[in-house]
Amino acid sequence: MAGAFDYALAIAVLPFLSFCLAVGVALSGRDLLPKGGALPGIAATGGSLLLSAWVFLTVSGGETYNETFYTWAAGEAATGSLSEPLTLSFGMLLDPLSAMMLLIVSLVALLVHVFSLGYMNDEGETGLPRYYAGLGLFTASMLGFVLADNLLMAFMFFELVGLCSYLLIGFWFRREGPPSAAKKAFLVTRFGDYFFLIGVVAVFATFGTAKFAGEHSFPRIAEHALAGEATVNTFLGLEPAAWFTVIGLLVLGGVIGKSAQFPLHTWLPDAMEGPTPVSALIHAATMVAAGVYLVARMYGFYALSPTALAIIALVGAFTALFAASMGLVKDEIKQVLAYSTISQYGYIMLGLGAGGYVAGTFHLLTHAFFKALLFLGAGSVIIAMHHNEDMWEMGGLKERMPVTYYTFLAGSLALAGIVPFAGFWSKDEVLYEALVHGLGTTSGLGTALLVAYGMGLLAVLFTGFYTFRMVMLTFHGEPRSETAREAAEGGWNVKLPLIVLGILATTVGLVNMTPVADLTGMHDIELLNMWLSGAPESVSVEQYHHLLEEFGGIHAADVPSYLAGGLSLALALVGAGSAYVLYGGADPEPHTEKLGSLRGVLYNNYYQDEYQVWLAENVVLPLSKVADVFDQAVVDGVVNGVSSVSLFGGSRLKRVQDGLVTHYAAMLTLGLTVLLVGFAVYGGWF
Amino acid sequence: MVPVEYYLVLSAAVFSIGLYGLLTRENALFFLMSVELMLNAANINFIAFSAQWGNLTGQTFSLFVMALAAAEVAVGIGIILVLYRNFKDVDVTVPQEMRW
Amino acid sequence: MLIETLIGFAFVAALVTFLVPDEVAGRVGAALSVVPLVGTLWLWAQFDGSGNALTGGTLAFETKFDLLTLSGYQVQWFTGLDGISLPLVVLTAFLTTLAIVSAWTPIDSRQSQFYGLMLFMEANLLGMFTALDFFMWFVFWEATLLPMYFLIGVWGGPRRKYAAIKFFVYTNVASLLMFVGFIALTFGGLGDSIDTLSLPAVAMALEAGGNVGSFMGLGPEALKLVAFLAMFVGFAVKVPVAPLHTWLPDAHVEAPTPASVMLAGVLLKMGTYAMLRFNFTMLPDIASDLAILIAALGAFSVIYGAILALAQEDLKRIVAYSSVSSMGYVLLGLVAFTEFGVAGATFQMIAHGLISGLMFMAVGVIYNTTHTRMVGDMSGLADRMPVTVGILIAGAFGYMGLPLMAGFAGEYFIFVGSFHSTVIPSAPLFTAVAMFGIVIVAGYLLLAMQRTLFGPFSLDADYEVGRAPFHDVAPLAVLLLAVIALGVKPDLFLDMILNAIAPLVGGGA
Repeated sequence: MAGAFDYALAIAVLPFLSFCLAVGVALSGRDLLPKGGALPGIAATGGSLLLSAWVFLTVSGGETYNETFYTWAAGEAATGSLSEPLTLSFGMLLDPLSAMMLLIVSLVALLVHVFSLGYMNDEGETGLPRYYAGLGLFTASMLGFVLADNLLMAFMFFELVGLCSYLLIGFWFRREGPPSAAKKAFLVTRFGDYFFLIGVVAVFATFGTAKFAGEHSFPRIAEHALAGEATVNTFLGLEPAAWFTVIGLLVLGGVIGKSAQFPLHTWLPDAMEGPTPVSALIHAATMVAAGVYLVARMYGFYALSPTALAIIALVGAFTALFAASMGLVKDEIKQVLAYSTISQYGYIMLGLGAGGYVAGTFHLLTHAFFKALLFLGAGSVIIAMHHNEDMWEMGGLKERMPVTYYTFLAGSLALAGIVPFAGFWSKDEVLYEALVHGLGTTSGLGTALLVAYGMGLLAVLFTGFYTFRMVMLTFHGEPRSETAREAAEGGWNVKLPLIVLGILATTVGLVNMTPVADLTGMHDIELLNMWLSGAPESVSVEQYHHLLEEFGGIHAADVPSYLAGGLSLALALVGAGSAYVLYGGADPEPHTEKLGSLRGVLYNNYYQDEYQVWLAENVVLPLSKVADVFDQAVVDGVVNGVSSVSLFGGSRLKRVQDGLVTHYAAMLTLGLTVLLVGFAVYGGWF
Repeated sequence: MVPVEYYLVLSAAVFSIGLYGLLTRENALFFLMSVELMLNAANINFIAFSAQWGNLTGQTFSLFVMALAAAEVAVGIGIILVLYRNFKDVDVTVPQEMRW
Repeated sequence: MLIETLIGFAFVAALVTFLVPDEVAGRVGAALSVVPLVGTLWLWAQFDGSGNALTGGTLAFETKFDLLTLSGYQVQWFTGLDGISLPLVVLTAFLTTLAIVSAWTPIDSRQSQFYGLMLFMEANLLGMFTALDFFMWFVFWEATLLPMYFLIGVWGGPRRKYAAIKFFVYTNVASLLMFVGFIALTFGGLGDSIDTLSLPAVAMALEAGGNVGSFMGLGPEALKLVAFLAMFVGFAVKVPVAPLHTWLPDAHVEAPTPASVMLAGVLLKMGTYAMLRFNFTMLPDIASDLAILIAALGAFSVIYGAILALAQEDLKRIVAYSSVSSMGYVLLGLVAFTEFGVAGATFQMIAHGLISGLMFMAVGVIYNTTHTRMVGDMSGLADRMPVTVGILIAGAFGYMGLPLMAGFAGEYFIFVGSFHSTVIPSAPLFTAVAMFGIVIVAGYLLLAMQRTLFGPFSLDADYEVGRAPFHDVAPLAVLLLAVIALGVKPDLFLDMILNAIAPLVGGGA
């Protein structure tokens, strides 16, 4: 019987076909498709969404799928330190996690396609087939990444996603900014992917397989190896546990790059040069999510290494705080959202690092919806503001664009973590996991988690503040410019995605209300927890708990979740409230100016960009110039020197041929004599 | 029978005279003559050893050498004539163009 | 006799093209070059060889007869294909046809001679990749230099004479060194244990072990080491391995585009192909002993070439240095002596041949319209020639190792293979260092692309910049499709390569 799984591949193939179609149209150079190729894209992502939903339903029926469908390259013999031939293949892993992610990606992709009708087509942009080709390829790659059943396939689509991001950020290539931002985005993530690629190679060399799930999967083999039930190759003389940590951290390099974690976060704010729907799709809901999704996907591996977990948690928490502090002072609406994105992915990392697999995944889910919503809302504002993004030019848009305002407000409440909007439940659970595991774990990991919890908690305050500063400046008060006074809301293609996402941002948090469950004792309302527990054993929540306790040494302390939740809610309210007080007036003042030089530091992103640019321009480029000079002068100099010496020697030696016959005869005689003497000596005549 | 050493001494003497002439003279005709002397020194050797070993190959070779010498003189004289026509002289130190 | 027919046809085609009038030479050359292309594709389809040609595998399309005897050695006409040479033969024929088509626009003088030389080079390359007797192989090997010398020296840029002579002398001296090494090994070392210089005979005599005698005061091991080094250095110039690479940028910058395509696409592979055949097949024990050195050289080439590419302002020079970088991976893969290492190296030869050909061609198309290759002279080309630029971007990402394109496949195989090598000491470290090349390559290509292709259009010259003619763009598109096809389905070649390199795996161990 043909079930959902037989068609699951089409989830990724459909957007790819729309990409091919759009490329064909772009090549033809004519306007062959209505709406510049948007309709095939909408149809394809719509199809993907339906199929994803079908897969979701099938998975919720308890079925899962984990099969290879294409062998990319297969070795024939075990060579080097491997004990069996390598097989590099493509397969699909359909379990609760990937089914959920498929649904998120295809839904957001569909909504972004629809929104693009308003943002791109109605604004009369040129090069639309190229735009929709990029969106199509991006959606296809992202879905392929989610479907991947092994690390290599994941890496390959990870890179393709990076390519699409490059193409879409640089969509307006005739300007100076976007190509530069696109380059930066690709290069910074490529730097992370370098480590990721070493990690992939190392996984193959260590385990002989890179499959995520099943008995013969690398997290499983690693578990057995640590338990002493299996042997694996390790390299560089490291013990298995240490080597696994190394591999985990290498892969984490790619995660840090793609999910814009410190110190590779600098590309994301620049990436706002791209069209806003692209920012929504790529830099909020999906591509950036690819990084943390990967951690969740191979959680069984990370759970084995307390060191890796501690680093994930610390990097995440630090990024959350760090990015939130920069978001406090930004003037452009998309910049605030960009830093909030970095910050929120920090939370997801914190959740995963703190042993909260469900918490991290939960925040991934809710964030995808409310951040896509916020970006699309910002897009709607930007359309109305004729592509002016400065919040100080806005104000008072509340009356002029009510749909945008209320949906944006829902998203903001979710972002700030105000009950009962989605972000509250998930962010609270992340912090709760960090707290209980920090208190319960005795090793260094416990301390790390407590530190991370502290940073995460402080970031809640900041988040509340910058979110409502943004809302107040944009929508409240009096209009501060002519365009703001005449702003008008877009058509259905703008409003519909906003409304759909607004509803989701409000309600999706209800799927895992842990504090409520704790208070009432009704644990069967933790739907997400139950959903993720339905996975095959090797990737299930129970398995991860077991691994975390057994190998990660993580234990939970007994702290009521509503207390922790209450604390973070209070902080969020304080942050939001102070923003309301400071910026809520009719004509707010730029209060952050009072921070003085601190504002300068924050506004300039702690000079993170400066030092990276400095590294590139004042270290790498001069180094290459020096190398070039060295190459020209020394390496090539030797070559040219040899030829010069030969030429010079020849020019001197040729003077022997002076044209005088007598001299030739003399030399002849001399030569003969030398030969005779030589033979005489060597021939033993003397 | 005259021992072969005598012939060799004679041939060495003739060869050395030829060589001396080649190295010291500047007149092209003397050059040619010196070369003839050296060739004939070789001939003496050929014939001497031919007689010594009772093998006719040496004598045959000396005939070849004579033919070669004749041919060489023919070409040599031709070259000298051209030399004279171009430089009004048969001094070999005058033409130095054929260098480098 | 299929191979001989193809080689012979290529020679005749060269002659015919040489004699036809200039106006039609391009068309005639292209038409004639299709025959060897179809022929090699036929060889590919009918390929039935297995194993390695040098270790007693079954050859496909084998031809062997005695030509003459030289001091006790039979000189043979001996050709045949195995899984290593077949892909290279296909690559040669494929690139020749495309390069000839890409020459239609830029070559505007002495066309019949140009296309004749291209076909002459193809004939020699086909001979070089199929020959299995040392004498014939060496004749073809040397004869490929001639056409390239003239292609650079006659149709090249302003410094063409310098570049052509440098190319010729440098690689020729290297060939001499290699020749001495090989002859010392066979005449001196193997002595009477072989009566022919056919490569399989030599390889198998060496593999049997204990055959190598002393020569010129060198003991067997020392002789093998000296021979290995001589051959290695000889081939390393051709590859080129840093620091023996300096002829390459000059040659590329001066060469006309089609010659660059052939130079980067096929001629560089001669070096690695010969290294694989001679050094790594005949003397694997020495190669294993020197593994750390060779791996270090490979990694050094990768990083050094990439850093140099970063400093260049001339698009062709950028691609030229990046070739140094990419060929460094091949060296690393070969010395790993693992299945994926050696097979990946062989695969990378094909992949790099296609991608560097694509890049040079794309740069050539840009040069045809803008008459400059300097990064600083132009910007915003994407606005004027969108299709060419689109393909160039795709090719550049292929060069950076974008998955599902051939470059990624080759590089990934090499990385996997060298990481778990037991021959290279601390293999993971060498691999990790070499892998950093993928970051630098992204750096310089993205930087160059940003400066030339994007931003507002400007050009420091008064040429009209418009879309390139169809016959300029078509070869690019064909190459791009080939690159993607190989990336999606490496098994097109990988199967036969794996089969052919299987006997080499493990090195001297």
